[in-house]
Amino acid sequence: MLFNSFEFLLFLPIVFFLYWFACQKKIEYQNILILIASYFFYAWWDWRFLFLIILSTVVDYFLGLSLDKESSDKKRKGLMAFSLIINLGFLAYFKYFNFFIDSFIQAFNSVGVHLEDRSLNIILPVGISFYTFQTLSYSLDIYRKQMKPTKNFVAFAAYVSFFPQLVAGPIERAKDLLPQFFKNRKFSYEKAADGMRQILLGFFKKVVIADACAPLVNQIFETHLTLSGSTLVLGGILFIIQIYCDFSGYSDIAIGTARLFGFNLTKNFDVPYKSTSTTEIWRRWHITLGNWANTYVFNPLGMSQAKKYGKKGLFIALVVTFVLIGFWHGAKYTFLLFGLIHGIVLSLELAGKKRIKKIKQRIGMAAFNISGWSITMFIWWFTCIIFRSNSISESVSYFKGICSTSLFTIPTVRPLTLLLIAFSFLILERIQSSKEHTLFIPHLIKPFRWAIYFLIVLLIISFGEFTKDNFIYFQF
Amino acid sequence: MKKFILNSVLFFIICFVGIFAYLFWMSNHYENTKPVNNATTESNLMVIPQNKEYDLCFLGASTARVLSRNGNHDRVEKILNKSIINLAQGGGRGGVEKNYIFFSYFLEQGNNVKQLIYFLPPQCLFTDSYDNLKMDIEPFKFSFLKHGIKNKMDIATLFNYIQTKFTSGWKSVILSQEQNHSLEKIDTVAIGKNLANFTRYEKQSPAEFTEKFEYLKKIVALAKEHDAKVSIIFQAHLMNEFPHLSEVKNELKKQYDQKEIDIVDLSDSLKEPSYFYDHLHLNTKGAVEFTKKFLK
Repeated sequence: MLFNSFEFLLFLPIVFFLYWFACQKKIEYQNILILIASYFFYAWWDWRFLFLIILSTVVDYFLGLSLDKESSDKKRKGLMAFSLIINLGFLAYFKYFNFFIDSFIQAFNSVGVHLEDRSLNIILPVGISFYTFQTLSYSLDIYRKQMKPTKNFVAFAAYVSFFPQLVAGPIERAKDLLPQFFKNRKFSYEKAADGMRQILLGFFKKVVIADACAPLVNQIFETHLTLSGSTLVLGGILFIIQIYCDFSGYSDIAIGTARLFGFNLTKNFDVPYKSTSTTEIWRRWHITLGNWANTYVFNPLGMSQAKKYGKKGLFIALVVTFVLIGFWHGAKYTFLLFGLIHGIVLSLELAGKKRIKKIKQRIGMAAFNISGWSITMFIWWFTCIIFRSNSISESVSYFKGICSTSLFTIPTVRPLTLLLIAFSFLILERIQSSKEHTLFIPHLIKPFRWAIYFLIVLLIISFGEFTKDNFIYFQF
Repeated sequence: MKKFILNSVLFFIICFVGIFAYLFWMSNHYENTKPVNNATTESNLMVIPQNKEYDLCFLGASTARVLSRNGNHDRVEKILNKSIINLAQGGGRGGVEKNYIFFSYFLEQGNNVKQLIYFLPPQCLFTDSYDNLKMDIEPFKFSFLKHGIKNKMDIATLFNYIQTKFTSGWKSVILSQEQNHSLEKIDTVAIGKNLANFTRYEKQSPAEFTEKFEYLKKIVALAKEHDAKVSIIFQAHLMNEFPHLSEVKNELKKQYDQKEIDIVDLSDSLKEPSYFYDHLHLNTKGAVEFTKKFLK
C-alpha cells in the first residue's frame, strides 16, 4: 500500500480508531493490532512476500534468545553467523543474484569464454533492505551484549513489521524502537497534531514537488542524447530535488503516522541541502542508514584497520563503508560508483581537516560557507546524476552532453512554477531548520496555523501529481 | 482525543466544503460569462444540453473532432442539413471509455439522437492513455461527478477532473485553436514515427483489447436502447494501415451483424495531402470534402 494512495487514506483512520478505541485497554491488544495492520499493509502489495518478513522475524527472535543464553563465544559466533547468513542470504538472493550472475558472465565473456545467460526473473520484495537491517541490528546488539532479547514475540514481530516505516525506513535500531512497544502509550493531542502536520508536509513534498519532478527527470534522462547541455544540468538539479522530496517526504509521513500511534521514530533527514561539506551532508541525509553503517560497519572495520594501518586504515574503512552504502541501494555499478566517490571525498575531507580549518580562518566564515556549500552541492549533483543513470556509460554520455556549447543556451524544459515552489520550500526549510520539521508551528496562533494548512492543501490539490508512482526508495 | 478528532473532522469538512464551493462557483461563473458552442470548444460538458434531440452524434478522438474545429461544425451541419453534437475529443482525450462516459451522460441528461457515428481510432482499444486523466477542459458539474462515480470511472481520472479546476490552465484550453494548413506532400519518415508511437502501447495482442471493446459494446447497446442508428467509421488518413486495424474490424464483424450497425472503413478514401494538415487529421478543405463525399 502506498502512502499517497486512496487506500491508505481509508486504512489509516480505520487502524487509528481501532487502536485508540477498541484496543486502548491493553498494550498487548495494541501490539497485536499493529502487527495485523502491518501485515495487511504489506500484503496489499504482494501477500506472497509476507513469509519472508515472518521467517526473518522468527529466525531473529529465537536467535536473539539463544544468543543471550549462550555463554560460549564460539557458539555465539556461530549463531550470529547463522542470522547473518539467513538475513543477508535473502537480501543477496532477491537483490543481488542477477547482478553477480551477469557480472560473472560478462567477466568470462570478456576473456573469450562464452557462458549462457542465467539471469532469473526475480521480483524484489518491497522494503527488504530496510527490515533486514532492522532485524540484523537486533541480533547484532544482543551479540554485542548491548541489549537483552525480548520474550514477547508479538512485540518483536510488530517492531520488525511496523507499517509506518516497514517499506522505506527510517531504519530503527531495536534498542530505540523495540522498548516503545512495551511502554504504555497514552494519546497525546500535541503529539498527534504534530504527527498530522508532518504527514501533511510529507504529502506536499511527495506529490507537489517530487512527483512533479519525476516525469521531467525521466524525460530528460531518457532523451539526454538529444537535449542541450543546459537542459541536462537542469535535469540533474530536478533529480536532486526529486530524490530529496520523495524520500524525506516518505520519512515525514512515516514519522508522522508513527506519532499518531504514540511512537517516536528517528529523524531521517535534517535539512541536508544546507550542508557545507560532504561529511555534513551524510550526517543530515538518510541519517538512520548512516548511523547503522557507522555502528555496524565503519566502527568495527575502522578500529581493526586503524590498528593495522593507522590513519590510512580509517580511510580504507570509510571507502569500504560508503561502497557498501552505495551497494545497499541496489545491484548496479552506478550505485557502487556513487558510494565510492562519496567514500573518497569523505576521506579527503577527513585527511584535510586541518587545512580546511586554516582556509576557513583565512577567508572568513561567510565566504567559507558559500564556497563549501557550492562545492558540496556540485559533488552531490554530479554523483546523483551517476546514481540516476541506468549505467556508467549512460552517465558518461550524460556528462558529455553537458560539456558542450549548448550548455550556455536556455534549457528546452522550463518548469518555472515547479522550480519556484521547490526553491521556496527549500528556503523555508532552511529558515525552519532548528525545528523538529519544517511544519513544526505549534507556537503560531490557531487561525494563522490553519491558514497555512489550508494553503498547503490548496497547493496539493492544485499542483499535486496523483500518479501511481512508487516512492523511489521502495526499489531499494 | 476528542479535541483531536473534532479538529481533524472540522479541518476535513472545511477543506471539503471549501473545495466544492469553489468548484461550484468557478464553473458556473465561467459558463455564465463565456458562452461557448460545439464549434468553439472541445469541452463536452460545456455543450451537453438537457432534453434536446439531435440528428447526429459524433464520437471518437481528434480525427472526429476536426469535423467541428475551425468553424467546421457549422459547415458540416449545413452540408448535411442536420443538427449535430460532436462529443469526440482531441488531445489524447478520446478513449473508448471516455466516449462511453460522455455519451451515457448526454443521454442521462434527457437528450436523444437519431444516429450515432463513432469514428473509431483502432489504437484507442490498445491503451489506457486515451482514457486516463486529462479531464482538464471540462467544467465542474456535480451531476457529472455522480455519473462518473456511478459508471466506475477511474478514481485518478475523477480526481484529475476536480484537481484541474484549481489551476487556470483549464480555461485557456477551452477555445480550440487548431492547425488548418494543407500538407504539401506525404512524409514517410513522419508516418513511421507516428506509427511507432502506436505500437508502443501497453496492450498489443488482439486479446488484450477486449476490455476496451466492452465499452464499445456498451455504447452500441445504449444507442440501440434509444433507437439510434449506429455507424462505426474508420476515418480517412494518410498513414499506412494502422496496427491491429484488421483485428478490430474482424472483431466488430464477429460481434455485429451488418444490418445491426454500419461498419465502414474509409481509411483510404482520401489520399490527397491537401485535404490534411498532418498525416492523420483533415483540414477544413478535407472535412468539407469528406462530409460531402461520404457522410452525406
